This record gives sequence, structure tokens and C-alpha cells, in this order.
Amino acid sequence: MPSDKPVEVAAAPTGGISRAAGMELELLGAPEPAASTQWALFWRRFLRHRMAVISALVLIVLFVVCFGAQWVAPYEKNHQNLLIGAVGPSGAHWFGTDELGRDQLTEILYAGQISLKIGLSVALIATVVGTWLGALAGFFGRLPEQVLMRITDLFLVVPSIAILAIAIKKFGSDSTTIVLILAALGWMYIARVVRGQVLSIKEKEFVDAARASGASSGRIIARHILPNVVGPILVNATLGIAAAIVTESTLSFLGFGVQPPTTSWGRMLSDARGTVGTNKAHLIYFPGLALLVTVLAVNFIGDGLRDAFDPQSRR
Amino acid sequence: MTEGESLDPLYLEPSTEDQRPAPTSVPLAVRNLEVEFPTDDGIVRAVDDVSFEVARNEVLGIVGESGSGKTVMSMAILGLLPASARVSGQVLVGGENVVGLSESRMQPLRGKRIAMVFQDALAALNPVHTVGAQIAEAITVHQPRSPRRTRRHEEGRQSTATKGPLSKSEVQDRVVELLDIVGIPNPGERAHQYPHEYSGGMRQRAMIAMAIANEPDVLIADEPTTALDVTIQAQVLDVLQRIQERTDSATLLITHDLGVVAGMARRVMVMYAGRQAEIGTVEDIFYRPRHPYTLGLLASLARVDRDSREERLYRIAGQPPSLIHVPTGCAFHPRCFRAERPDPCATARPDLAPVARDPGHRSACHFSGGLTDVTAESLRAKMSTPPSNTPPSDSP
Amino acid sequence: MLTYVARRVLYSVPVLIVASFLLFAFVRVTFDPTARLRQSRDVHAVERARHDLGLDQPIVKQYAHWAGGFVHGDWGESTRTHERVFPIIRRAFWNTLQLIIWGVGLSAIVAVSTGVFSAVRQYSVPDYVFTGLSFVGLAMPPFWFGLIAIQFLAVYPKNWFGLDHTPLFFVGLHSSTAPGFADYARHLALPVLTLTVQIVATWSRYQRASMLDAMSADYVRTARAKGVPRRQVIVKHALRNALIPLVTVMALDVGALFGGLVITEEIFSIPGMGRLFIDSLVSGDANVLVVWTVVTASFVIVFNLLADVLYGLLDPRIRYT
Repeated sequence: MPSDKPVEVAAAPTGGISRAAGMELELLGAPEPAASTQWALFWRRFLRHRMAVISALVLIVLFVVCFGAQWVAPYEKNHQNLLIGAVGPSGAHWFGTDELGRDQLTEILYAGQISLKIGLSVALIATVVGTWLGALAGFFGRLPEQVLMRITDLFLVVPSIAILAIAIKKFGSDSTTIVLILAALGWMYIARVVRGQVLSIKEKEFVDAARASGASSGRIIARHILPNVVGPILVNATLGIAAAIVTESTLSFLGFGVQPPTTSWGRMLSDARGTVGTNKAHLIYFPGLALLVTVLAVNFIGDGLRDAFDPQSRR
Repeated sequence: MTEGESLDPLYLEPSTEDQRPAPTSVPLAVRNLEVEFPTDDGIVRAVDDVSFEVARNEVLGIVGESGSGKTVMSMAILGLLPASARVSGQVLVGGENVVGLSESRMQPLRGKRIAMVFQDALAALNPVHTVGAQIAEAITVHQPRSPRRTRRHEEGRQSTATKGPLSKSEVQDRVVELLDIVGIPNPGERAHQYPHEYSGGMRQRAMIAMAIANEPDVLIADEPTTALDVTIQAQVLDVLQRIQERTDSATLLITHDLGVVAGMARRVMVMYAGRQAEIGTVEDIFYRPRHPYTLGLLASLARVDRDSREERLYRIAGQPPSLIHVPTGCAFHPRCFRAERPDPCATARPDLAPVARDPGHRSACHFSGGLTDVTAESLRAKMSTPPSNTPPSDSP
Repeated sequence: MLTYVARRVLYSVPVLIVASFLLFAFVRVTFDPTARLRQSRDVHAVERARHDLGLDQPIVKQYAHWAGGFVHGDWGESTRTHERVFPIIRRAFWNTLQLIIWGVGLSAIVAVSTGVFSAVRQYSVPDYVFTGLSFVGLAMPPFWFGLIAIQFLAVYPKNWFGLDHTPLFFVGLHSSTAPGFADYARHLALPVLTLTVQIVATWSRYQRASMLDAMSADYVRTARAKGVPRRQVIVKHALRNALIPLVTVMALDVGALFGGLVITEEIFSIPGMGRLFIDSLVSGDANVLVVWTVVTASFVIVFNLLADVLYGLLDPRIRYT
């Protein structure tokens, strides 16, 4: 604070707010962290979120065993043993076998490759596209913004599962097409989030300073604005992975997803649907459990990231 | 969701202090009050060994920077601190210690014998209820459920609000009367409006009306005018003063504005880092300050009768301390112009000791006796020659 | 308020027109009602049929023709069953509506009570349990939950207790043999549970967050300082404010449910809107699909409007002009 400014009583303290106390304790006064320690702080806060850390470990293991399936899977892919047929979990087949005697653990690992790949690709594409379109709309305002908002309005009005199913019917159901279709609908949400963030950051002084020093709009977006919205983007991208995995499995379950011989967890559940109520019901347990664990883990990580980026939101 | 012990926001520590109740004529006495909050980064001692009394019909001004513990202290008096707060010492309301009282025993006291006017009336009033309904609620929650069941501590106390259960229309009449007392025009209509339909000054008046609805013995006004325009401030202070004279309540006027204190209070307590720096009459504090922090506050006041272009405003060096790492010894020593470091200021915590020849005037400074020659004027004059010893950062 | 509603309705008309046009065009290029004729040897049959159906006209003209009929109550006929579309939609809508009423009612009660409890007793054991359950609920694929519910709440109990029938049913909404409310309830239980699991997790998280906000608000502190008893503080001051955002979110979500129960209806063979969509999509019933999307989109728009109106009614600070 410059000393020539009149100060009524004394300088205002640079205080933090104790959330635990639930009221203002402005004198806690921890000094603002320097920029270089921001990432260290971020990691410290993320590591403090126990469920997020456990989830990250679970996901890493899941990725390793799914994509290393050819080495870790107990049987070969599609290895049939018609003599045993569908039997429940046992020492030889931990997750049991299906009607063709295929080991379910092996099948789940290979199907996981597809589910995870689709989830990651959709989230990646949707995030990149959504971030840039959202940033452009927020930065340039007026026309691009109106266009973006009206388009998203249109898509919000129609049940997304309907659009997806019709689109798959039209464009086909190989996994690349499904990824593109899911991403084509997924970018809008993240674009809205980014637009909102950009609108608020655009008004900050450092953007004015960059503009005054002659930086181009593209440079301002890339160097000054996007780094400041990386938190919400990362959180939403993470949650986008979970959403894409669930949506793909739902479509597959309804028969609109990947087609045999490609399998995903949703496809396995769709195939096993008829076993509900029979003595082969174990076929529905494990693919669903794999889905549940994956989505739960991804959501926890998203939660941990949110806490780490924005400690005020801890709730 | 029953009212039980787990909801009790106060943590009772067995007190070794003398439990003898104060004379009942003192509406509010605070003895060795301490409030601590455990946080992730350490323990915050927001109020540190504070003692004072307020008599009937007396206004005690409490002055300090934001974060000096003023608001936490008033919350402690009302028993409204979060459950994580650790409170020790005594708060005697009419001689009865309310520290550690259960929620169910504290609740009838709040708004009835101790009432509070909050700082930000827009946030402090519930946006979805009309102003009238909120004032009416303050009355009805303290009505005996049936005439037979009067509460023990209310016996012998007779005021308009406690004679017995009021009918709905009587409550409504009282609400309109209260709004009229605090100077709200068209109180009959205004009672049916929502807080957002009021202006800032009117909202603050409505807050005051709500606080005095039950003619409390103790009135705590926490920065009642800070959020208002200067002209509105004067009006609201005027209302507060009229109310205070009318109800005879013991009033705590919490503010960081020395001007407000000078106009309304009879005695003043200066707080720094949760501790008492100095306490005395308005004349003691303004004309014979005996604490360097008080002197600094006075010297930093903008004065209308001076040409501020020629005279720079005094500014207390440094920043208020973190309450987690309060400086050793005297909490103010890193910012003090008079401190002798390390001894005694950085090592020994000064007592709140009586000032010679000023009865009731006490100061927590090792050198309070040696400050007689320093005035706010001389401090300002020193601004042109900055102090030789630059204040060190908070000592560990 | 009325002018506001009128304005909003007027604004939603172009949204609906554009959305329905795009959907119409999309469905038309995806599904060819004459596909079956193409197998016939009569090469002119396709052309004739296309001409009869107006498919040789530009898409805008086709849409105008269709929309003109739609607003006059002529919703066309199913290319699959040749039934009029309106009664088909009405039947399906009624079945979906029953699911929504029971499911949303149950979800609202559970979400508000657990959300409030969690917020008032933040970091207590029940709070952690509710929070954990809501995380599981959010991650639960709804179709899987439906299958598991059938297995564990209907099939297994029958085997364990040696019953003649499953205690809860999982096909349709009524038995033809034994009508009555008990039968209805036994049919509804599992689909309503599945629907509840889908939405209650989000709502209770939302309620908890908004209740926490309200509990730490200044006006709650004021109420406590007035001496208002705790229960009254929670209900009259905190909950009354915390419900405002929740009700808005609920209205938005309910609007989306009319076309969003595809999974639940599919698993439990309930002939509602979702089931109708899947059947029409599989059989390429373009006329039903177009009407279906327009009707469900209209519900989303109407409930969006309802959310705004409710917000204005609950929060006196909102003035619609």
C-alpha cells in the first residue's frame, strides 16, 4: 500500500478466512503463496484428499491391467471352453465364465480397453474443442457468444440419449464414430464453463496490461487467460471421462454402442441381460462393478482436483 | 435433530477463577475471557485475557483494527461461536455466568437480555421474510408458551414484552411501534416490505428495532454504521443514541472509527491482536493516551480542521500480526515507535496496569508512564523523519 | 410476472421451431419410410411412395407441411403400426408420468431430508455415510442398478423364502390377472427405486451444499442472536432459503425426465416415452420419432420456464419485468 494514501486507522490486513471457524478471522494472515509454489501447494492439497489419492492408485492399476491384458489376463482373449459353459466364480475363473466358457475376468480386461479408450478420447476431444470455442466466445463476446449459447440451448432441449442414438443409427457404431459423436455433444458443457470463467477473467487488470503492451488476442487467450482457467477445465475434463464411459455403456446396453466382436463393459452387460433371474446372474455383476469402480474413482479424482484448485469450495 | 449437548457451541473449561458472582447491578461483566480456534495451521487465540464491565446506561466503545478480536468477543458473549471455538473465562450477564451454558439455556437469553445489532444489515436480515415478520419473531420467540410457565430468570422482570403472551395484533402493533421508534416513515406499510425494499440506512434502523424489541439489558452494536454513507451514519448513530438513553441498556459499541466512539461512548477500550491495549474514559483515551497503539490510531485520524496538504497522515508501521504467530512479549512491539527490544517489550507481556492519577484508566504498555510527553500531534510531526528502527517482521 | 411468462413463452417458440426443424431434417435423412419398398421389383413404387409422402419436396417445405399439421393436431400416423401418433404418445406419456410422479416425490423427500441432516450435522457419521452413498449413487450406471435390483430385491428373495411369485414385479406397471393398488405398488417399486437412485444423489448433494451456505449466512446468525430456537432457525430461516436453488434444479431435472427414462423403462418393460423412442428408432418409425422429440423438447422448455417462475415466487428479491 503506498504510504501517501490516507489510511483511516491502519492498513487492512491481508488475512485469510478460517472456514473451520465459520466466521471471519481476518488476522490469520498467512502470506500469499508465491507463484512458484502454486503447484507444490496444489499437490499438497490434492494429496490431502485421501479418497482422490486412493482413486488415482485404483485407476492406475486398472489401466495397467486392462492395457496389459495380453500379459496379465489369465486366459487368451475369446478362449472358449464349451465343456464347462457358464459357471460362477471359482479358483480357476475368478469372475466365472459365460455360456461359451469364456473367462469373464479376461473378457472384462479386454472390454475395459475399449471403455477406457472411449472415455479418455471423448473427454480429450471435447475438452480441447470446448475450451477453445468457449474461450473464443467468452473473449470476443457478442456474435460468437450468441451463436454458442443458442446452439447449446438447442441441444439442451432435446434428450441427449435421443440425439446420440439417432446419430449412431445414421453414422454407424464403430468405436471411432462413437467417440466423435459423444465428443460432438460433450464439448458444449465445457464450452459453457470456460466461457463463464473467461468472461470474469477478461476484466482483470493483467489482461488489460497484456493488451496495452500490444499482445494479440490469440496470445492473450493462450498465455494469460487459459492458464487461469486450467482448474475448472481439468476438473470438468476428468468428470467428462466418467460421463463418457457411462454414456457409452448406456448406449451399448441399449444396443446402439459398439458391435461384436468389439466389446465394452456396457456391451457385456447388454449381452448378459438375459441372465437376470437365472443361475448365470454372475455375468451381470462383474462388468457393472468394473464400471462402478472406474466411474467412482474418476469422480473422486475430479473432486480432489476441485479441492486442490479451489480450496474455498471444500464441502 | 434434537437440541442436545452436541449442538452446544461453547466448550466449557473448568475455571479456577473466583466463581463469586458480581453485584447484579452490573448488566455485563467480562472476566479473563479467552477464545481460541484450532485451525489447520495452528491455534488462533482471537480473544486473549480480556476483562471489563459495562454499567447500566453506559456506552463502552471498543476500538481496534479488523481482526483484533472485537467481533469474536461479541459472539462469545452471545454464545454464538462455532462449536470448534474454545472459550474460557467468564461472561457475567446480570451476575450469571453464561460461558458454557447449554444451547437450550442460552437461547432464552439471546435477544431478550443480550441483543445484537449486526454490521451488514442486508446480509443480516433474512431476504425471504418481511422486516415486520422478522421483528415480530424476535418478540414471539420470547413469549411464554403458556401464562403458567414463566421461566425462572424472568421472574421479577417486568417490561412491555414479558407481561404475558401477546396476541397477534398486539405483536403487530408493537412491531409498528418499534419501527416508528427507530424513525422509519410509514411503519405500518413498511413492516410488510422485504429487506431489499429498504434503503441501507433503513435496514440498519430495522436491525436496531429488532434488537431492542425486548428491551435488552445489554446491547451489542457491531460496526453498526460501517456499511453506510456518512450522512446516513450520523442518522443511525442518532437513533442508536436515543434508543440507548431510552432503554437504559448497557451498550457495547464496536467500531474501528474513533469518531463514532468519541460521539457516543463514555468509556473506550482499545484492542490489539485479541488483547486489551488500553481502557479508560473518552477523555483519558483521546487526550491522555498511554499506549503507543492508541497514539498511533489517533495520529492517523484525518482531521478536518487541518490542512492535510501540509501535514501527512501518520501511518502505523507494518501489518497487524497473524493471530497464530502473535509476537512475543507485547504483541504490538514490532510496530511500536517506543519499544525497547528485546527487553522488556519482546520478552515480557505487559500487564493492563493502572495509569497514575487517572482512576479507571489502564494501559498495557511497559512505558505507559513515559508517554506523557508524546501526543498525536508530535507523532504526526515525526512523519517527516521516519523512525530509525524499521520494524522487524513478526518474531517467531 | 405475467408479461415475463408471456415473453419467455414467445422466446421459446423460435427455439422450438429451430430445434424441431433440425430434428425433423435429421430424422428424415436418417430414416427412409420407403426403405421396405426398395426391395420390391417395381422401380416406380419407391418414387410413387416418395411423391405420396411428399418426400420429393425440399426439406423446408416438408417441414412446413408437417409443422402445419402438428399445430392443428394432425400428428401424422406411425409408419410401423399405422396408428395415429397422438394416442400413441398420450399412452406412453401417461405411463412415464406415473413413474415421474412417484420417483420425483420419493427423491425430493429423501434428498431434502438427508441434505438438511448432512448440513446441520456436518462431518458427523451420518453425513459421511450419506456423502459416501451419494458418490456411489452418482457413479452407478442406472441400467446396472436396475438389473441388480431385479436380482436382489425380486428374484433372490423369491428363492430364499420359497415364494410362489417374486415379492416385487419387474415387467410393466400392471398385472392383467390381479389389478389393484397392491399390485400397482409391487410393479412400481423397482422402477421408482431405479429412477430415484439416478436423481437423488445429485439432489441431496445440492441440498447439502445450499443448506451449508444458508447455515453460515449472516441472517441465520441474526436469528440465533434473537433467541430463535434451533429447530425454527433451521426450518424457517435456513431451509426456507436453501430450498430456492434446489426447487429450481428439481424443476429443470423433471423437465428432462419426460424423455430421459429410456433406461428405466427399457429394463422394466414399461411402455412409456423412453420405450416408445427405442421401439420407434429400431423400427425406423420416423413420424413417431419427430413428434416424440418435439414433445419431449417442449417439456424441457416448459419446465425451464416453470423453474424461473418458481424461483420468482420463492425469492421476493426477484422481480420479473
